[in-house]
Amino acid sequence: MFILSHVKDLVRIAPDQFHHDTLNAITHQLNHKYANKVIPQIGLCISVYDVLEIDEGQIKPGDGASFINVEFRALVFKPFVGEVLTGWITKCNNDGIQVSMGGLFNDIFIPRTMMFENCFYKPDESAWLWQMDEDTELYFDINELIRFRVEKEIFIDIKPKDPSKIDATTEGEGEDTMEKEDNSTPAYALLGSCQTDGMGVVSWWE
Amino acid sequence: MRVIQARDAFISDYEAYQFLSTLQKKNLWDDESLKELAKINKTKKGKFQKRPYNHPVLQGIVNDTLSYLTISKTVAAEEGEEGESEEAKQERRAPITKMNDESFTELMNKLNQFDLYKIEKLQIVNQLPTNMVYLFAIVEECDSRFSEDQINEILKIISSYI
Repeated sequence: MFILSHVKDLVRIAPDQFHHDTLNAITHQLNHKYANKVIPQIGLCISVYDVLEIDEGQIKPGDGASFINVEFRALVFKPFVGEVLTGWITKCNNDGIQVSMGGLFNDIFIPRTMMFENCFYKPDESAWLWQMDEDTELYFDINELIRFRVEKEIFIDIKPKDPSKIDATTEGEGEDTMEKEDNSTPAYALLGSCQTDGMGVVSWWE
Repeated sequence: MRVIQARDAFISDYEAYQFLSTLQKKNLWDDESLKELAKINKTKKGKFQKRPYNHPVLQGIVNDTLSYLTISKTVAAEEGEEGESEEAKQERRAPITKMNDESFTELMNKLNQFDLYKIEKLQIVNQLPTNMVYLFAIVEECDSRFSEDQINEILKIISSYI
């Protein structure tokens, strides 16, 4: 589920940080930049794991800060394709099931084409159910623990927001902006499947 | 930013848990330290008291990751009833929280005697499957690669660490 990624970066240490130990100041800056951020094509960075190499600091004209080339390893959340993971069902709709892994990661989706055969959606109960055999119907209930296999990872390059639009939304009503944020596309999403034995709601297989 | 190697190493849930909980303790973000700090802050308002490391983003993701890792995922998540005893809560915690370095290496060594791929071993130690269906989901073509006795032995080894 987790990997270590070897990354090189230039860190700017502002003069007011000079009284700190170099390593601490660098880790602080790196965590500031990477913690809880998606690195494109890699995954969701949790935190800095260790700092491997610290070059000598350099200065640039017109800036009192010191710039240091640093090599470090980051603890990254990146399940590999084929890995089996466990999460909670948060939402069911006609297209599939939305799964969350606590506060860690929420953008997991199991599309309808990647579920067991004889799975169908009941719009009046807004739940998916699996007709295992003629008289057994199993429900995918919200908040149930669900086990799934990772099939695909999707990275989307999110462009910075247009400043004029940001101004417009802050002036708008508060509830509206909340909804818009929820619907925005995630930078990193996973597609899962529930097609083999052992997958699906955990309690079915206990 | 330059990525030198996207995947320098795999890291197991146990290692991630150990690393993050040490980080949490060091920065005084864990429950115990927070309680203690609250106590100290009540009694004296000195200038030079220990403070938690102020980094809300990192604190948030570390706490969330730890809470995901500590919840047991083998038993169906039953909503904790109110007035639940401490003991029952402990039991619902994931097995990796009860392990230590020695028992983890021991488990790893025991798994090494089977002809498992690295990635399969990683998933076994991460998820500690307790039943055969779960193990079959993790290990590909489990039934043709291993005999029934071997499968039962793997399950027995795993269950002794839970």
